[in-house]
Amino acid sequence: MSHLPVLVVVVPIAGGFLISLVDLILPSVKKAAVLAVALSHGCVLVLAAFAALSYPPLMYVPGSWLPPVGIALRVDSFSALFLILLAVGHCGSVLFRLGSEGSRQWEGKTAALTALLFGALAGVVVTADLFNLFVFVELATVCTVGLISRKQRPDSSVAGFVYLMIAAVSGALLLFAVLLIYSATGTVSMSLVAERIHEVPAALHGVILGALVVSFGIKFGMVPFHVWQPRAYHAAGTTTAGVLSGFGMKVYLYALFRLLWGPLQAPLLLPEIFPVLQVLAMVTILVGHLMALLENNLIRMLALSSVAHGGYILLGLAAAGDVGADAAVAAALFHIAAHALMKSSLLWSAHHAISLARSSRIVDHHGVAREMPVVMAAFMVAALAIAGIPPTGGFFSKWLVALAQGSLLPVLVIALGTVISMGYYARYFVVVMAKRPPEPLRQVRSRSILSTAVVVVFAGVVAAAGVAQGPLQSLFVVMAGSLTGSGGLP
Amino acid sequence: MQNAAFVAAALVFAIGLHGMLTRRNMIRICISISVMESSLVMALVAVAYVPGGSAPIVSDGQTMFVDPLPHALALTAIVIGAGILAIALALTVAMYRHYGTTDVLAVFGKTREGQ
Repeated sequence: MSHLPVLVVVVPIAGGFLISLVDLILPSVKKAAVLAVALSHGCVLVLAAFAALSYPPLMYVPGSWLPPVGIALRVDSFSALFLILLAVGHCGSVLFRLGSEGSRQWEGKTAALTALLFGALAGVVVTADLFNLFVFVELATVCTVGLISRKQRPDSSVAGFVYLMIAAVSGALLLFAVLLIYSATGTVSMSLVAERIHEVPAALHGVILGALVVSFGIKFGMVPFHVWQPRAYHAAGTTTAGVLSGFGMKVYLYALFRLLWGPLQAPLLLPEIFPVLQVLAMVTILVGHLMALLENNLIRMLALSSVAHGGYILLGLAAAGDVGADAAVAAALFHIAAHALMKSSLLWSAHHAISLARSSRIVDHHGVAREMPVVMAAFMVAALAIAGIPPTGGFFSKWLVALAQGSLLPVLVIALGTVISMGYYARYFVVVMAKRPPEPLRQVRSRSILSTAVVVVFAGVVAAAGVAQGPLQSLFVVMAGSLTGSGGLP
Repeated sequence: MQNAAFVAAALVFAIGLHGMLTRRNMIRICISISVMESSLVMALVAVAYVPGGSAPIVSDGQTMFVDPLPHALALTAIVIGAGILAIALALTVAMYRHYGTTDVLAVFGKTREGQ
């Protein structure tokens, strides 16, 4: 039990190399190996999360070398949510991929890269050291590039190149921030930085914060650094896009939360950053939704919707600038969890629609709902939730983010974003519900119960989350208290 | 001495950034990114410098040591940078094989036509 914080990283990384080896020497058992790695990683993540939900947090110091000489891994109630999301994402994506149409051609490389990506993301969540954070973020970048460009199509290479260039800038900014923190405090241990950061001049503190916000803003698609996202998700395909949007993006937001409240002590020492973040969040929401409204390609539309929802989460973060603002952080956490399930359900349902229509253009999806009613019903439930229709979990998460705002303008932006998103989802519904397809649809060869079950369960959980929003909100407040230091107490 | 190293690192970073923003050739863009990363490694080495400090190996009479942590960070950054450069160049080769050019704007134009 005491080794759980390190196992959440070691299991998928070792598993990724094991999958590659099995793919080379014993391809007949490849699927079993992939499933075993995903399930074992899921179990370790859930065990670590539940252990962390009990106070005090889990600490792990490899080799018993305490910081600043050694490194530390830390799992607390706040990180527990993200570990659970990673468990759901890893197991869900593997089950979906095993059950979906393209599983016959499923390459071992994709499975290995997926395992390595989830290992890197788990590393970002558990690390208590800025050096390690940089390493895990870069490992996640390399895996993401591999997943985006693995299809060996020309546009995949272009999307991979664009992502790599912009991620290299993000990595350079992160390294720059770590360098400044080290030069100012003499350590890269998050807990020791938090103790010494008050000695850093405000101007330098601001530069560090700015570099980190831009670095992670690039990663989660904050406007104006979102340009890579539609191209990358389109090239990566719906299954990988579901992983990147549903789960990868959330971990970068987690890192921003953790750094602002942990080592940088932003609410206490530099509260001026939060109004700036609020403006960026509102711009991100509006630009993301408006671009999605103008988009004619389903995957790009969903990618731009993810940009907008990154804005909602950032708005929750910005509202939590007041010391001890647990309600705002809890609202952001609620939206993180809801969006992870909603967006992966949408993208994975879209996978079936796209394989049926042989196109990701919305106009080619006429009559799709009549061919696959269950999958499209799941899509519609997830779309209603993501648009913010009551009583779904998506409605309550947006509602709580709106309640946490201290002024009217962000609330109006949330409302306007909701109206715009209802517009583009309604447009898609009209197309898929059309009576007569303009051209014959492809006969789907194998749409297994497994892949359908994954999207139905995810959409169902989001819908049911609205009913259980009271207990969920209480749980998220406790998790938020672990970040802000209040322990979830009022 | 340390300030001069920081100024040099800032200059190298600016050169890399300028190249990344103004060049259209993908190989030159890759090189510019690599130059930017190298400037950060220079800065890390400068941060680690301790006047009169010895190598961090405990021995009699030595009281002032150079902190090895920035060196470890620099080595890691070099390895990661090399890996990213290799992937970027491999993607450039893949795009050149298909589009017959390394001009990034020409490639973007052709992908737009293909959609």
